[in-house]
Amino acid sequence: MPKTLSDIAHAVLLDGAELARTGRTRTQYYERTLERKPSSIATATKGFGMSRSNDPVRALVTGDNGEGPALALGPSAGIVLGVSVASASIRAAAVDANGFTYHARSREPAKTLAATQTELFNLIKAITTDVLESAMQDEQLLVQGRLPFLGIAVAWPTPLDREKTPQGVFTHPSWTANKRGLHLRLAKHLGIDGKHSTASRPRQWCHAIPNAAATAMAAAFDYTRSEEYQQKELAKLLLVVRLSGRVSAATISVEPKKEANHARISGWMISRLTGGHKNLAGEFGHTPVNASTLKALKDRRTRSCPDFVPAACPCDPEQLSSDHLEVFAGGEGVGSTIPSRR
Amino acid sequence: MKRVLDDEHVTAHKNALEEVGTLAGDCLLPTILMLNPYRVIVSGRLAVPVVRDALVERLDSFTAISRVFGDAPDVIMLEGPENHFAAVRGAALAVLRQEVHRNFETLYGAPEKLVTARFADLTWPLTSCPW
Repeated sequence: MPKTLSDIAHAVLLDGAELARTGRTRTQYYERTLERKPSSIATATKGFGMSRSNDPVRALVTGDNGEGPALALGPSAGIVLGVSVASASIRAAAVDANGFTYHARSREPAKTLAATQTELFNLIKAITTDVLESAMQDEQLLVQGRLPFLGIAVAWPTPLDREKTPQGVFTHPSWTANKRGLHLRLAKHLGIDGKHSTASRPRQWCHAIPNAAATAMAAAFDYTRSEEYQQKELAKLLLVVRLSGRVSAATISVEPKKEANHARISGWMISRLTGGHKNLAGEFGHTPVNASTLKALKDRRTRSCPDFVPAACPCDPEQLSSDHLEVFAGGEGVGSTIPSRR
Repeated sequence: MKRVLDDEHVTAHKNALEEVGTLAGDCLLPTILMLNPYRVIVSGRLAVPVVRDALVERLDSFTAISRVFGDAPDVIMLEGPENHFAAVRGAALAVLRQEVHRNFETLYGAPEKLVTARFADLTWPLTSCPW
Protein backbone atom coordinates (compact mmCIF):
# COMPACT_ATOMS: atom_id res chain seq x y z
CA MET A 1 0.00 0.00 0.00
CA PRO A 2 2.65 2.61 0.89
CA LYS A 3 4.46 1.74 -2.32
CA THR A 4 1.40 3.02 -4.13
CA LEU A 5 1.78 6.34 -2.33
CA SER A 6 5.40 6.81 -3.45
CA ASP A 7 4.43 5.82 -7.00
CA ILE A 8 1.74 8.49 -6.93
CA ALA A 9 4.24 11.05 -5.61
CA HIS A 10 6.60 10.25 -8.48
CA ALA A 11 3.75 10.46 -11.00
CA VAL A 12 2.52 13.78 -9.62
CA LEU A 13 6.05 15.18 -9.81
CA LEU A 14 6.06 14.38 -13.53
CA ASP A 15 2.45 15.23 -14.35
CA GLY A 16 1.67 18.02 -11.90
CA ALA A 17 1.99 20.89 -14.34
CA GLU A 18 0.07 18.98 -16.97
CA LEU A 19 -2.71 18.33 -14.48
CA ALA A 20 -2.87 22.02 -13.67
CA ARG A 21 -2.88 22.95 -17.37
CA THR A 22 -5.43 20.48 -18.67
CA GLY A 23 -7.84 20.59 -15.76
CA ARG A 24 -8.18 16.82 -15.95
CA THR A 25 -10.23 15.36 -13.11
CA ARG A 26 -8.76 13.08 -10.49
CA THR A 27 -10.72 10.10 -11.72
CA GLN A 28 -9.50 10.63 -15.28
CA TYR A 29 -5.93 11.00 -14.02
CA TYR A 30 -6.10 7.91 -11.83
CA GLU A 31 -7.60 5.76 -14.56
CA ARG A 32 -5.83 7.02 -17.68
CA THR A 33 -2.38 7.98 -16.43
CA LEU A 34 -1.80 6.06 -13.22
CA GLU A 35 -3.84 3.13 -14.52
CA ARG A 36 -5.38 2.60 -11.11
CA LYS A 37 -8.95 2.59 -9.95
CA PRO A 38 -9.96 5.54 -7.79
CA SER A 39 -10.90 3.09 -5.07
CA SER A 40 -7.35 1.71 -4.91
CA ILE A 41 -5.96 5.24 -4.60
CA ALA A 42 -8.47 5.97 -1.87
CA THR A 43 -7.30 2.86 -0.02
CA ALA A 44 -3.64 3.82 -0.40
CA THR A 45 -4.16 7.31 0.90
CA LYS A 46 -6.65 6.50 3.63
CA GLY A 47 -5.48 7.94 6.91
CA PHE A 48 -3.30 10.55 5.28
CA GLY A 49 -6.14 13.08 5.00
CA MET A 50 -5.44 15.05 1.91
CA SER A 51 -7.57 18.14 1.89
CA ARG A 52 -8.12 19.77 5.24
CA SER A 53 -5.50 21.87 7.00
CA ASN A 54 -6.08 20.01 10.27
CA ASP A 55 -5.41 16.61 8.73
CA PRO A 56 -2.39 14.98 10.40
CA VAL A 57 -0.43 14.38 7.22
CA ARG A 58 -1.02 16.40 4.10
CA ALA A 59 1.39 14.47 1.93
CA LEU A 60 -0.86 14.79 -1.11
CA VAL A 61 -3.63 17.30 -1.62
CA THR A 62 -6.58 17.26 -3.93
CA GLY A 63 -7.96 20.23 -5.80
CA ASP A 64 -10.92 21.21 -7.89
CA ASN A 65 -8.93 22.38 -10.93
CA GLY A 66 -9.88 25.91 -9.97
CA GLU A 67 -7.64 26.93 -7.09
CA GLY A 68 -5.29 24.01 -7.69
CA PRO A 69 -4.74 20.91 -9.81
CA ALA A 70 -6.67 17.73 -9.19
CA LEU A 71 -3.79 16.19 -7.31
CA ALA A 72 -0.56 17.72 -5.97
CA LEU A 73 2.20 17.15 -3.44
CA GLY A 74 0.98 18.51 -0.12
CA PRO A 75 2.47 21.04 2.29
CA SER A 76 3.77 18.26 4.55
CA ALA A 77 6.50 17.85 1.94
CA GLY A 78 7.79 21.24 3.08
CA ILE A 79 7.57 24.91 2.28
CA VAL A 80 10.79 26.67 1.36
CA LEU A 81 11.19 30.44 1.41
CA GLY A 82 12.92 31.21 -1.87
CA VAL A 83 14.73 34.54 -2.19
CA SER A 84 16.62 36.10 -5.05
CA VAL A 85 18.95 39.03 -4.63
CA ALA A 86 19.75 40.92 -7.82
CA SER A 87 21.59 44.17 -8.40
CA ALA A 88 18.42 46.25 -8.15
CA SER A 89 15.81 44.00 -6.58
CA ILE A 90 15.05 41.46 -3.89
CA ARG A 91 12.26 38.97 -4.45
CA ALA A 92 10.87 36.27 -2.21
CA ALA A 93 8.05 33.74 -2.12
CA ALA A 94 6.98 30.57 -0.37
CA VAL A 95 7.55 27.58 -2.65
CA ASP A 96 6.05 24.12 -2.21
CA ALA A 97 7.21 20.72 -3.50
CA ASN A 98 5.21 21.26 -6.71
CA GLY A 99 7.25 24.38 -7.48
CA PHE A 100 4.16 26.54 -6.96
CA THR A 101 4.85 29.97 -5.46
CA TYR A 102 2.74 31.73 -2.84
CA HIS A 103 2.78 35.16 -1.24
CA ALA A 104 5.37 36.53 -3.65
CA ARG A 105 6.98 39.82 -2.69
CA SER A 106 9.25 42.15 -4.59
CA ARG A 107 11.27 45.16 -3.49
CA GLU A 108 13.66 47.46 -5.26
CA PRO A 109 16.26 48.74 -2.82
CA ALA A 110 19.00 51.05 -4.00
CA LYS A 111 22.17 49.28 -5.16
CA THR A 112 22.26 45.95 -3.37
CA LEU A 113 25.77 45.17 -4.58
CA ALA A 114 27.24 48.12 -2.66
CA ALA A 115 25.36 47.31 0.56
CA THR A 116 27.12 46.06 3.67
CA GLN A 117 26.53 42.45 4.61
CA THR A 118 24.34 43.46 7.55
CA GLU A 119 22.26 45.83 5.42
CA LEU A 120 21.57 43.14 2.83
CA PHE A 121 20.87 40.48 5.45
CA ASN A 122 18.38 42.86 7.06
CA LEU A 123 16.64 43.35 3.71
CA ILE A 124 16.40 39.56 3.33
CA LYS A 125 15.11 39.30 6.88
CA ALA A 126 12.43 41.91 6.24
CA ILE A 127 11.12 40.41 3.00
CA THR A 128 11.16 36.81 4.28
CA THR A 129 9.36 37.87 7.45
CA ASP A 130 6.69 39.45 5.28
CA VAL A 131 6.31 36.26 3.18
CA LEU A 132 6.40 33.98 6.22
CA GLU A 133 3.80 35.92 8.19
CA SER A 134 1.48 35.89 5.21
CA ALA A 135 2.10 32.17 4.56
CA MET A 136 1.34 31.31 8.20
CA GLN A 137 -2.17 32.70 7.67
CA ASP A 138 -2.73 30.62 4.53
CA GLU A 139 -4.65 27.43 5.33
CA GLN A 140 -3.64 25.70 2.13
CA LEU A 141 0.00 25.77 3.30
CA LEU A 142 -0.63 24.64 6.88
CA VAL A 143 -0.62 21.23 8.50
CA GLN A 144 -2.58 21.19 11.74
CA GLY A 145 -2.29 24.95 11.95
CA ARG A 146 1.48 25.05 11.50
CA LEU A 147 3.65 25.97 8.55
CA PRO A 148 5.98 23.06 7.67
CA PHE A 149 9.09 25.15 7.16
CA LEU A 150 11.89 23.50 5.19
CA GLY A 151 14.32 26.41 5.06
CA ILE A 152 15.36 29.61 3.31
CA ALA A 153 17.14 29.33 -0.02
CA VAL A 154 18.78 32.48 -1.33
CA ALA A 155 19.88 32.96 -4.94
CA TRP A 156 22.83 35.38 -4.89
CA PRO A 157 24.14 37.64 -7.65
CA THR A 158 27.67 36.38 -7.04
CA PRO A 159 29.63 33.25 -7.83
CA LEU A 160 29.83 30.95 -4.81
CA ASP A 161 32.60 28.44 -4.31
CA ARG A 162 32.06 24.98 -2.81
CA GLU A 163 31.93 26.46 0.70
CA LYS A 164 29.35 29.00 -0.56
CA THR A 165 31.79 31.85 -0.01
CA PRO A 166 31.08 34.79 -2.34
CA GLN A 167 33.71 35.51 -4.95
CA GLY A 168 33.73 39.19 -5.79
CA VAL A 169 30.69 41.27 -6.88
CA PHE A 170 29.89 42.67 -3.42
CA THR A 171 32.10 45.70 -3.01
CA HIS A 172 31.86 46.43 0.72
CA PRO A 173 34.72 44.99 2.82
CA SER A 174 32.25 43.41 5.26
CA TRP A 175 31.67 40.65 2.71
CA THR A 176 35.31 39.56 2.64
CA ALA A 177 36.00 39.92 6.37
CA ASN A 178 34.22 36.61 6.96
CA LYS A 179 35.33 33.41 5.24
CA ARG A 180 32.27 31.32 6.14
CA GLY A 181 29.66 30.39 3.58
CA LEU A 182 26.81 32.85 2.98
CA HIS A 183 24.24 30.28 4.14
CA LEU A 184 26.01 29.96 7.52
CA ARG A 185 26.34 33.74 7.90
CA LEU A 186 22.66 34.30 7.13
CA ALA A 187 21.59 31.54 9.52
CA LYS A 188 23.62 33.22 12.26
CA HIS A 189 22.20 36.64 11.42
CA LEU A 190 18.65 35.26 11.62
CA GLY A 191 19.47 33.33 14.78
CA ILE A 192 18.37 29.98 13.37
CA ASP A 193 21.70 28.15 13.11
CA GLY A 194 21.40 24.84 14.91
CA LYS A 195 17.76 25.47 15.83
CA HIS A 196 15.26 22.60 15.70
CA SER A 197 18.08 20.10 15.20
CA THR A 198 18.65 16.81 16.90
CA ALA A 199 21.91 14.98 17.48
CA SER A 200 20.80 12.36 15.00
CA ARG A 201 19.58 14.89 12.47
CA PRO A 202 21.48 18.19 12.47
CA ARG A 203 19.62 20.64 10.27
CA GLN A 204 20.77 23.45 8.06
CA TRP A 205 17.91 25.89 7.48
CA CYS A 206 19.69 28.36 5.19
CA HIS A 207 20.97 27.57 1.72
CA ALA A 208 22.80 29.54 -0.96
CA ILE A 209 23.07 29.20 -4.74
CA PRO A 210 24.13 31.61 -7.50
CA ASN A 211 21.30 33.32 -9.39
CA ALA A 212 21.96 31.75 -12.79
CA ALA A 213 22.24 28.27 -11.27
CA ALA A 214 18.94 28.81 -9.45
CA THR A 215 17.28 29.91 -12.68
CA ALA A 216 18.65 26.79 -14.38
CA MET A 217 17.14 24.65 -11.63
CA ALA A 218 13.72 26.22 -12.19
CA ALA A 219 14.07 25.79 -15.96
CA ALA A 220 15.01 22.11 -15.56
CA PHE A 221 12.15 21.47 -13.15
CA ASP A 222 9.60 23.05 -15.48
CA TYR A 223 11.04 21.20 -18.45
CA THR A 224 10.73 17.84 -16.66
CA ARG A 225 7.06 18.62 -16.04
CA SER A 226 6.31 19.56 -19.64
CA GLU A 227 4.49 17.46 -22.20
CA GLU A 228 7.56 17.74 -24.46
CA TYR A 229 9.79 16.08 -21.83
CA GLN A 230 7.58 13.00 -21.68
CA GLN A 231 8.62 12.10 -25.24
CA LYS A 232 12.39 12.52 -24.75
CA GLU A 233 14.64 9.51 -24.29
CA LEU A 234 18.01 11.25 -24.09
CA ALA A 235 19.53 13.79 -21.70
CA LYS A 236 19.15 17.42 -22.82
CA LEU A 237 21.46 20.27 -21.97
CA LEU A 238 19.81 23.56 -21.03
CA LEU A 239 21.92 26.71 -21.09
CA VAL A 240 20.56 29.57 -19.03
CA VAL A 241 21.86 33.07 -19.70
CA ARG A 242 21.05 35.70 -17.14
CA LEU A 243 21.24 39.26 -18.42
CA SER A 244 20.72 41.69 -15.61
CA GLY A 245 22.91 43.94 -13.46
CA ARG A 246 25.41 41.13 -13.81
CA VAL A 247 25.82 38.77 -16.72
CA SER A 248 26.12 35.09 -15.85
CA ALA A 249 25.11 31.68 -17.10
CA ALA A 250 24.54 28.12 -15.98
CA THR A 251 24.15 24.77 -17.68
CA ILE A 252 22.15 21.81 -16.48
CA SER A 253 21.98 18.38 -18.03
CA VAL A 254 18.40 17.16 -17.73
CA GLU A 255 18.14 13.40 -17.62
CA PRO A 256 15.24 11.55 -19.25
CA LYS A 257 12.58 9.88 -17.14
CA LYS A 258 13.02 6.22 -16.38
CA GLU A 259 10.75 3.36 -15.45
CA ALA A 260 11.44 1.38 -12.30
CA ASN A 261 9.07 -1.28 -10.95
CA HIS A 262 6.33 0.07 -13.22
CA ALA A 263 6.70 3.55 -11.73
CA ARG A 264 7.72 6.54 -13.84
CA ILE A 265 10.64 8.36 -12.22
CA SER A 266 11.49 11.93 -13.26
CA GLY A 267 15.02 12.67 -14.44
CA TRP A 268 14.80 15.87 -12.36
CA MET A 269 16.23 14.04 -9.36
CA ILE A 270 19.48 13.16 -11.14
CA SER A 271 19.83 16.16 -13.46
CA ARG A 272 23.13 17.90 -12.89
CA LEU A 273 24.24 21.51 -12.82
CA THR A 274 27.73 22.07 -14.18
CA GLY A 275 29.66 23.47 -11.25
CA GLY A 276 33.21 23.11 -12.53
CA HIS A 277 36.43 22.58 -10.61
CA LYS A 278 35.73 25.13 -7.86
CA ASN A 279 31.98 25.33 -8.46
CA LEU A 280 32.50 28.71 -10.11
CA ALA A 281 31.35 27.81 -13.64
CA GLY A 282 29.03 30.23 -15.39
CA GLU A 283 31.02 33.46 -15.31
CA PHE A 284 29.96 34.12 -18.86
CA GLY A 285 30.02 37.91 -18.26
CA HIS A 286 33.81 37.88 -18.22
CA THR A 287 34.07 36.66 -21.80
CA PRO A 288 36.01 39.24 -23.85
CA VAL A 289 33.83 40.67 -26.60
CA ASN A 290 34.93 40.50 -30.19
CA ALA A 291 36.62 43.77 -31.22
CA SER A 292 35.32 43.55 -34.79
CA THR A 293 31.74 43.13 -33.54
CA LEU A 294 32.18 46.20 -31.34
CA LYS A 295 33.45 48.17 -34.31
CA ALA A 296 30.53 47.01 -36.46
CA LEU A 297 28.07 48.09 -33.77
CA LYS A 298 29.80 51.45 -33.42
CA ASP A 299 29.62 52.02 -37.19
CA ARG A 300 25.92 51.20 -37.21
CA ARG A 301 25.03 53.74 -34.56
CA THR A 302 23.49 57.10 -35.28
CA ARG A 303 25.75 60.09 -34.92
CA SER A 304 23.97 61.30 -31.78
CA CYS A 305 24.98 58.16 -29.90
CA PRO A 306 28.23 58.49 -28.00
CA ASP A 307 30.84 55.76 -28.20
CA PHE A 308 30.95 52.98 -25.62
CA VAL A 309 32.33 54.50 -22.46
CA PRO A 310 35.34 52.41 -21.48
CA ALA A 311 34.76 51.00 -18.02
CA ALA A 312 36.58 48.39 -16.01
CA CYS A 313 35.01 45.03 -15.28
CA PRO A 314 34.24 44.53 -11.58
CA CYS A 315 36.25 41.28 -11.71
CA ASP A 316 39.47 43.18 -12.20
CA PRO A 317 40.98 44.89 -9.13
CA GLU A 318 43.50 46.67 -11.35
CA GLN A 319 40.66 47.98 -13.52
CA LEU A 320 42.31 46.99 -16.78
CA SER A 321 39.71 44.63 -18.24
CA SER A 322 37.38 46.80 -20.22
CA ASP A 323 36.44 44.30 -22.92
CA HIS A 324 34.35 41.90 -20.84
CA LEU A 325 30.76 41.29 -21.94
CA GLU A 326 29.47 42.47 -18.56
CA VAL A 327 31.00 45.91 -19.16
CA PHE A 328 28.75 46.33 -22.22
CA ALA A 329 25.75 44.16 -21.46
CA GLY A 330 25.55 44.37 -17.65
CA GLY A 331 23.50 46.91 -15.75
CA GLU A 332 26.00 49.77 -15.86
CA GLY A 333 26.91 49.15 -19.48
CA VAL A 334 23.42 49.15 -20.97
CA GLY A 335 22.58 52.60 -22.11
CA SER A 336 26.14 53.87 -21.95
CA THR A 337 25.76 54.53 -25.67
CA ILE A 338 22.60 56.53 -25.25
CA PRO A 339 22.71 60.33 -25.36
CA SER A 340 22.06 61.83 -21.94
CA ARG A 341 18.76 63.55 -21.29
CA ARG A 342 18.99 67.30 -21.36
CA MET B 1 19.27 50.22 -17.41
CA LYS B 2 15.93 51.26 -15.92
CA ARG B 3 15.69 54.23 -18.29
CA VAL B 4 16.33 51.96 -21.27
CA LEU B 5 13.81 49.34 -20.21
CA ASP B 6 11.14 51.85 -19.22
CA ASP B 7 11.03 53.15 -22.76
CA GLU B 8 12.46 50.47 -24.99
CA HIS B 9 10.72 51.76 -28.12
CA VAL B 10 12.87 54.91 -28.25
CA THR B 11 15.26 54.26 -31.11
CA ALA B 12 18.42 54.83 -29.08
CA HIS B 13 17.14 52.53 -26.32
CA LYS B 14 16.14 49.86 -28.81
CA ASN B 15 19.60 50.08 -30.38
CA ALA B 16 21.25 49.71 -26.97
CA LEU B 17 19.18 46.59 -26.26
CA GLU B 18 19.95 45.14 -29.68
CA GLU B 19 23.63 45.65 -28.95
CA VAL B 20 23.26 43.65 -25.73
CA GLY B 21 21.67 40.78 -27.67
CA THR B 22 24.28 40.90 -30.43
CA LEU B 23 27.22 40.93 -28.01
CA ALA B 24 25.70 38.17 -25.88
CA GLY B 25 25.12 36.07 -29.00
CA ASP B 26 28.69 36.71 -30.07
CA CYS B 27 30.06 35.58 -26.71
CA LEU B 28 27.81 32.51 -26.66
CA LEU B 29 29.27 31.08 -29.87
CA PRO B 30 32.22 29.18 -28.31
CA THR B 31 29.99 27.82 -25.54
CA ILE B 32 27.38 26.62 -28.02
CA LEU B 33 29.98 24.97 -30.23
CA MET B 34 31.52 23.34 -27.17
CA LEU B 35 28.35 22.13 -25.47
CA ASN B 36 25.73 21.83 -28.22
CA PRO B 37 22.88 22.80 -25.86
CA TYR B 38 19.35 21.72 -26.60
CA ARG B 39 17.95 25.07 -25.57
CA VAL B 40 19.21 28.51 -24.59
CA ILE B 41 17.04 30.25 -22.01
CA VAL B 42 17.38 34.01 -21.64
CA SER B 43 16.42 35.41 -18.25
CA GLY B 44 17.00 38.47 -16.09
CA ARG B 45 15.85 42.10 -16.38
CA LEU B 46 17.19 42.32 -19.91
CA ALA B 47 15.19 39.31 -21.08
CA VAL B 48 13.06 41.38 -23.44
CA PRO B 49 12.03 40.61 -27.03
CA VAL B 50 14.48 43.10 -28.57
CA VAL B 51 17.44 41.47 -26.82
CA ARG B 52 16.20 37.95 -27.56
CA ASP B 53 15.66 38.73 -31.25
CA ALA B 54 19.12 40.28 -31.65
CA LEU B 55 20.69 37.30 -29.89
CA VAL B 56 18.86 34.84 -32.15
CA GLU B 57 19.80 36.84 -35.24
CA ARG B 58 23.45 36.81 -34.20
CA LEU B 59 23.46 33.06 -33.56
CA ASP B 60 21.73 32.45 -36.89
CA SER B 61 24.45 34.46 -38.61
CA PHE B 62 27.21 32.08 -37.55
CA THR B 63 27.80 29.60 -40.32
CA ALA B 64 29.88 27.51 -37.92
CA ILE B 65 26.74 26.60 -35.97
CA SER B 66 24.67 25.78 -39.02
CA ARG B 67 27.49 23.79 -40.61
CA VAL B 68 28.19 21.74 -37.49
CA PHE B 69 24.72 21.38 -35.98
CA GLY B 70 22.39 22.09 -38.87
CA ASP B 71 20.74 24.96 -37.04
CA ALA B 72 21.13 27.17 -33.98
CA PRO B 73 19.72 25.94 -30.66
CA ASP B 74 16.21 26.83 -29.68
CA VAL B 75 16.28 30.19 -27.84
CA ILE B 76 13.46 30.99 -25.44
CA MET B 77 12.97 33.92 -23.13
CA LEU B 78 11.41 33.87 -19.69
CA GLU B 79 8.72 36.53 -19.32
CA GLY B 80 6.73 38.23 -16.57
CA PRO B 81 6.49 36.49 -13.19
CA GLU B 82 8.09 33.35 -14.63
CA ASN B 83 11.19 35.46 -15.25
CA HIS B 84 11.04 37.62 -12.13
CA PHE B 85 10.64 34.66 -9.80
CA ALA B 86 12.70 32.04 -11.66
CA ALA B 87 15.67 32.30 -9.31
CA VAL B 88 13.34 32.39 -6.27
CA ARG B 89 11.71 29.13 -7.38
CA GLY B 90 14.97 27.56 -8.49
CA ALA B 91 16.73 28.24 -5.19
CA ALA B 92 13.80 26.72 -3.31
CA LEU B 93 13.51 23.78 -5.71
CA ALA B 94 17.19 22.93 -5.19
CA VAL B 95 16.39 22.40 -1.50
CA LEU B 96 13.13 20.58 -2.19
CA ARG B 97 14.90 18.24 -4.60
CA GLN B 98 17.59 17.43 -2.04
CA GLU B 99 15.27 16.99 0.92
CA VAL B 100 12.02 15.75 -0.62
CA HIS B 101 12.02 14.70 -4.26
CA ARG B 102 15.09 12.50 -3.88
CA ASN B 103 13.56 10.92 -0.79
CA PHE B 104 10.10 9.96 -2.02
CA GLU B 105 10.67 6.30 -1.15
CA THR B 106 11.69 7.19 2.41
CA LEU B 107 8.86 9.67 2.93
CA TYR B 108 5.90 8.49 0.85
CA GLY B 109 7.02 4.86 0.69
CA ALA B 110 7.48 4.50 4.44
CA PRO B 111 5.48 1.81 6.25
CA GLU B 112 2.08 3.25 7.03
CA LYS B 113 2.76 3.70 10.74
CA LEU B 114 5.92 5.68 10.03
CA VAL B 115 4.61 8.05 7.39
CA THR B 116 3.42 10.65 9.91
CA ALA B 117 6.70 10.56 11.83
CA ARG B 118 8.83 10.77 8.68
CA PHE B 119 7.01 13.87 7.47
CA ALA B 120 7.05 15.41 10.94
CA ASP B 121 10.81 14.92 11.08
CA LEU B 122 11.30 16.61 7.73
CA THR B 123 10.22 20.14 8.61
CA TRP B 124 10.16 22.75 11.37
CA PRO B 125 6.49 23.41 12.17
CA LEU B 126 6.09 27.15 12.66
CA THR B 127 3.35 29.13 14.31
CA SER B 128 5.40 32.31 14.52
CA CYS B 129 8.38 33.76 12.73
CA PRO B 130 11.55 32.16 14.15
CA TRP B 131 13.67 35.30 13.70
